[in-house]
Amino acid sequence: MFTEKPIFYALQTADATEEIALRPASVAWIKRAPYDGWIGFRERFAQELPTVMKAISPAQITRLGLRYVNRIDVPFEGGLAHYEDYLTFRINHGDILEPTLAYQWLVVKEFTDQRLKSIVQSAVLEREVLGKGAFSFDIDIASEIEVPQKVDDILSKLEAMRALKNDIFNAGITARAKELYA
Amino acid sequence: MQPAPMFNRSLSTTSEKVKPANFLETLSSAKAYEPRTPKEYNFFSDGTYILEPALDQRPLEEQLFVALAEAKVWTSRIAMHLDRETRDRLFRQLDVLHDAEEWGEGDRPVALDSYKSLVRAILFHRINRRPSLSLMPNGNLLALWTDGADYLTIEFLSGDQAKWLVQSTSLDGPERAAGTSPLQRLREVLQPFGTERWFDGS
Repeated sequence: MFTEKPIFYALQTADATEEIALRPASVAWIKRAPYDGWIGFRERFAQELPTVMKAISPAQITRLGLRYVNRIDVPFEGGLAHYEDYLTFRINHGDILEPTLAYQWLVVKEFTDQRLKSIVQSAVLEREVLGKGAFSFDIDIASEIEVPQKVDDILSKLEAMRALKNDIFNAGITARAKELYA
Repeated sequence: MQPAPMFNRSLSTTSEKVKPANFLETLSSAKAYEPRTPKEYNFFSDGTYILEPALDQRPLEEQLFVALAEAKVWTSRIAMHLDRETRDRLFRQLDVLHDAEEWGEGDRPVALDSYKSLVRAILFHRINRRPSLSLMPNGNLLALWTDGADYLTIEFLSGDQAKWLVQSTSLDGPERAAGTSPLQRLREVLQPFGTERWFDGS
């Protein structure tokens, strides 16, 4: 018996919290929870970036992405998971659809002055913790125009992308949600 | 608001154009709003896939690696609820249980659903006293707590269920009991046998 499998190579640490995924047209560094902060993550891939740049030369980078997939577990209260208490971005569908079985939304915006694009989405996720529901708050920042091609420029661009991500994150969650990240 | 019994994402709400985060998508910052076609993954220009054996027909080391990786990646989803000491201990136990040199013919690597049940029970009941773990032939995890001649074993099943066996000694002599319960009820059903002794270490 055989299965079809897309081709990519993934190298990961023994605890699976760090991974590099190599595909024919892309390379991705992944950090899974528990997180150690941006500086450590940045230093880790900055260390390897020159090697990657050398390996792909003379090809050009066509997309630079920085994606944060946040999972927010919220306790059920009175049998309901009040995700509106945690996200300020949400669908305003009125009472007719309350309570909802599930939701899912996605917003794409170009920040032309920064030459960046954001893809922000949220959806109900499978429950993993007893007594808690869960949803995602997924922020993907992309550079697809005037994509930097040099190591220092890439790192600088990533800092700008992270700042935009932080702005969106802070605008998108409530004070109650911020307590979960404190 | 969402009613608890119906919280799982409904297939009917899943648009082809919208892809919520899942394991594969967290691997990359690829475009999130466009469905990926198989062609994007392909190495060969004619669109062919590599065919490889199903997991249970691959070399033992690969089967063990995949099972461990799945358990550890899943753990990252709930890592914010799990202290690092507990997580590291669980990983060490899993690594020991999947030592290829000690592997018996016909044994199965850890069943992810069983591992999920174990972790969910630890979180829900705030189990401080860590058990020994062993692996059942079917891949389920068996936790063991001992206290002198007394013991508690719990086999963690899929579907957030647990099969338990307890022996507790009183002035009237040893008493044994067994049952299968939802994870949430474990503390309650074990109460007559001193839940605190097993779960809280007191």
